[in-house]
Amino acid sequence: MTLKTVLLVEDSPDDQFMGKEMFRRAIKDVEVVCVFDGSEALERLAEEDFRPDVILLDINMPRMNGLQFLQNYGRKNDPTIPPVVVMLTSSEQASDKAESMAYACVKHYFVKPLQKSNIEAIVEMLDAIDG
Amino acid sequence: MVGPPRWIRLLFDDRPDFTLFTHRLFMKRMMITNRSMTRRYVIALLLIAAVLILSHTLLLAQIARTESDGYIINVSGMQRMLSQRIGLMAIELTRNDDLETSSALAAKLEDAHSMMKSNQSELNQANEQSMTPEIQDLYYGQSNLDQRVTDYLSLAEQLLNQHQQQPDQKEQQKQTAQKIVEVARNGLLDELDAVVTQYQKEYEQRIVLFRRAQLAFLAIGLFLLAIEAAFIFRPMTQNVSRTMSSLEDANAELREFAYRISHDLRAPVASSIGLSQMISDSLKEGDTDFAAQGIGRVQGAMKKLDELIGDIITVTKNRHLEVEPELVDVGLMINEILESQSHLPGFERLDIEKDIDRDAFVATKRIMLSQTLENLISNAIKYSDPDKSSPKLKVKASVQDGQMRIEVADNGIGFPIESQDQMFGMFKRFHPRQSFGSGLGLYLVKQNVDAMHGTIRYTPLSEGSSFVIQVPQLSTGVLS
Repeated sequence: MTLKTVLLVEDSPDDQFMGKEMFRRAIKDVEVVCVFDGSEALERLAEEDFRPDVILLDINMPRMNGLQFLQNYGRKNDPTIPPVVVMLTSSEQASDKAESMAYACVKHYFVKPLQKSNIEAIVEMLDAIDG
Repeated sequence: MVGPPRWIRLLFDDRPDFTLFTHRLFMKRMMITNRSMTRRYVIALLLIAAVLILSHTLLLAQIARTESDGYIINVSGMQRMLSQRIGLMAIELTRNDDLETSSALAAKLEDAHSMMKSNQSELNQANEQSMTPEIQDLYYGQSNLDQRVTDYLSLAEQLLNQHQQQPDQKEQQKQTAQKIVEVARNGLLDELDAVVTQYQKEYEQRIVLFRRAQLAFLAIGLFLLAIEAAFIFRPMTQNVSRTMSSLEDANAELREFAYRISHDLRAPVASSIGLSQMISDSLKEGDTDFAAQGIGRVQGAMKKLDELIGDIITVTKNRHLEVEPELVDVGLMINEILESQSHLPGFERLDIEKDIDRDAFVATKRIMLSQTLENLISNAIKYSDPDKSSPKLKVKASVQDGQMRIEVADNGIGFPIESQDQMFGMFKRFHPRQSFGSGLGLYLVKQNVDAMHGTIRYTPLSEGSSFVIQVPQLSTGVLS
């Protein structure tokens, strides 16, 4: 499949900027939608015509963090919802990794910063899901 | 010189390991608690031991006393029996004509006589050691039992002599025997009986006293245990559980601190690593505009990191900062802070209202008050409501009931209701789109207010927020 839409849930404007730019450089015509925290992400996902191919989720965010978002979003246990890739700030966050990977919708995790190889891994992952 | 960055040195200069330092601080507290606990324990145990030893000594003394009492009662009872036996033997001796029988009777009389005599001497010895007035009166008083026993024994001796020397002079022996019987009938037996009763009575009285003493010791022991439970063991367990819970809190805070530091310190570094890679790629492609934009962002991230490190240093240093209180002119301090914040974006649009009482002076830890007000005022500027045309800041300082009351209010974005109970926590940020802070500002504020023995209260306003801090106006001796 072609990766068309990415939902980037990230409070840091620098990381949003970087994410957009990395995807733009790696994949032609990809749209990266940025929101600042979990509750904004839930709002966007509730919109009927919004259907990202993948959600990139930061864990440490003000108001509603990544884990709180997953408590809402991951609970649905619906195999057709867009998959989530968790972005960890530090490899020390072992408990965050374990907690988020426990959700069926979370397919992958990366440690920041986002790399070209991460985007390739996302594309591979989506192809694998499509079978 | 290559070495750890300045901020690391600043943080850990005087403490090679933050955890170790906190650990030492608690060990010191625990040692003090241990010492006073041991002292209390020793006192408590010594008191109980003293009661036990006293009670045991009393018991031993009573056992010895009971033994001697029993012996004396026995001997005095024997005297009563022997006096009767002597009378009986005397009569029988004089009535008997058979030589063999009378010899046997004389031998029995002699046995009784010698036993009564030796008993008398034993009783006299015992009475010499201790005797009650009643016993003294009976033995050596008006009735003079001792003398009468002696006389009785002399009569028996006389009879025995007569029997031995002139066995045929029965009449003489009969007279002596008659005298013996008369003495016995004439009150000797009754008095010997009275002595037995008296000894018995005294023994019973002593047993009653002993029972009371044992009961008293039991009561004292139980009372001591109750006192110790109330004043030693209870405070001790309370102390231990208090120490444990403050240790647990400190540990939890330390864990949170370590976790947050690992995350928050790395965040801008990770961004900068990624951005630098992109800048490098852009330069290779000749895209200098993008490179310039990227460098601006790296600078921003580094600035943020620097502020965060500054806040961590302040929080860590303040934790162990010993500052003497000094007299602070609150109005002047507020003016200085506003001056120092004037470079912040949005400051020029700010509508500032100041209401500072003329007597707004407080004796307190200057640096802590200054950091507190600086944080509250800069928050009011940073988190102003972007939808409002005129951001407002109101600072009010007054003295009420010996308390310096300072209010910092704004018409900014306020705090989400659900996060208000965590607003003074470590690394807490509440505004996703406006979160340029380190998340340590209000934590530092709370820490400082506590160090000044003051209070802080947050009140959400219909538009914006209000923080009121109150600190005691007078600290010991500073104004005098």
